[in-house]
Amino acid sequence: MRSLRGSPLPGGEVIGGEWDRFSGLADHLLPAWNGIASIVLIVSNFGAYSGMEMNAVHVNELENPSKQFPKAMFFATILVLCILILPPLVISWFIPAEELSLTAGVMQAFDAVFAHFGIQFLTPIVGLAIVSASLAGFMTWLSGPSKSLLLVSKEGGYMPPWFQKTNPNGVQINILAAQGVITTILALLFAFVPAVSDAYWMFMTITTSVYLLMYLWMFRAAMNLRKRQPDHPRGYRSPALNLLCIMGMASSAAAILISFVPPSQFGGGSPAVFILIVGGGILLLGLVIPYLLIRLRKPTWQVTSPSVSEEAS
Amino acid sequence: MSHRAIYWIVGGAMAVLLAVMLITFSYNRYNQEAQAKAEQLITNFDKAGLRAPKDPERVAKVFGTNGGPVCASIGSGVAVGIAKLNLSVGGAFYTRPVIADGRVVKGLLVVAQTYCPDKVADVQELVDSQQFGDVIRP
Repeated sequence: MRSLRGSPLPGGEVIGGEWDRFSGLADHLLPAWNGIASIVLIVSNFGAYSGMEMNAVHVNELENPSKQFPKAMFFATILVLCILILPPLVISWFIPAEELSLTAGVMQAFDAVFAHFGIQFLTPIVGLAIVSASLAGFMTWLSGPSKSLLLVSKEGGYMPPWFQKTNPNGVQINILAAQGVITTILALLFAFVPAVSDAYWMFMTITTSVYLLMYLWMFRAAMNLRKRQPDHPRGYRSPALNLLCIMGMASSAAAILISFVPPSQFGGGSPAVFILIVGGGILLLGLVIPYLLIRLRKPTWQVTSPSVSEEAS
Repeated sequence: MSHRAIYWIVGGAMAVLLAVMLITFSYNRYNQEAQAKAEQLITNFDKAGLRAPKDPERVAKVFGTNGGPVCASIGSGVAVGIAKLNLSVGGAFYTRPVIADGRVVKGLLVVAQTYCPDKVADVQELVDSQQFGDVIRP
């Protein structure tokens, strides 16, 4: 439930604490224009939908993927829009920006709205809903990428056999364990160095750009697969694939370029340093490491014969 | 382990968590002292030129006598981190820090001055570490 700050609505100023202020909403639907920094916000919007594509690894487990998958995606899109827009709107309706605490966060906002109606006992219940939503979010990110990693490393021999070990249910236990160790270390880092610094924002920019770089390869691969094996039976066949992929590639590339613009809040540091560190990070994580994986792979690590992946395209 | 067993374990853990949350939640934050503090807060909001909430009872129900979660969170490093994240715009995993309107921290300062004056310095430190501007259209 980080949607409160994800909303482009400028907090309580939209509607304040009074019902009649709602009439001013139309003038405030778009944030104030602040030059190029406003365009950069578009990059953040990519994040709102990130994770949707992760569910594609499970597409072959559906009974009727060609019908169910698009339905699920449309449903998810509508849910994301409702969840990201409605609660912040309701909260900003009742609580002016001056009353929202930055440190106590969204729970206090809910508490204040419930206090207005005398139903504060709902606060812990909303708290539990937020906890379970976060856990469900983890599940997508835990199972999705590691499953893809398992599929490609089995076919291409990109990882030593130890990482390819699965349990009787076909779950990639060793990849998950390695992922767990690394994630725990990173999470502990946040506990020991809690104050979000410039470095934090830079790492976040690098992560997003590398992720968008992956989108570029993904769209390119989908176009290739459609061209080379148009008749291969797949779980889901998307219409106008080339158009979709070109649109996706263009917006991802634009987002990567835009992410090089340092945030205006970026304290003190020079833009050149920001661009160097972010660019270096993207090169290392997005190009050098994947190159090394391809270079160092061994045919003996290959478990299954290379075939066209059953992934959705 | 069967699917059914996993559902039961997850459901059970959630039920325990809910019970703990329902029991430990402070329901009765409203009393005479809280009401007096709330009235004082509203006066301070007015003095600071901020739009003040009109109903002291509603304020008292949220802040109680000690400033509730607002004062409890001030001073911890994690809270500073969360505050900075809250001053950003973005989605689930990518956010960018933005220049927020100065008003968003004015209220926090007034709450700290009213309920936990010993923590005003911590709030001021956070405010000084960030840039704020006049970015809300009138």
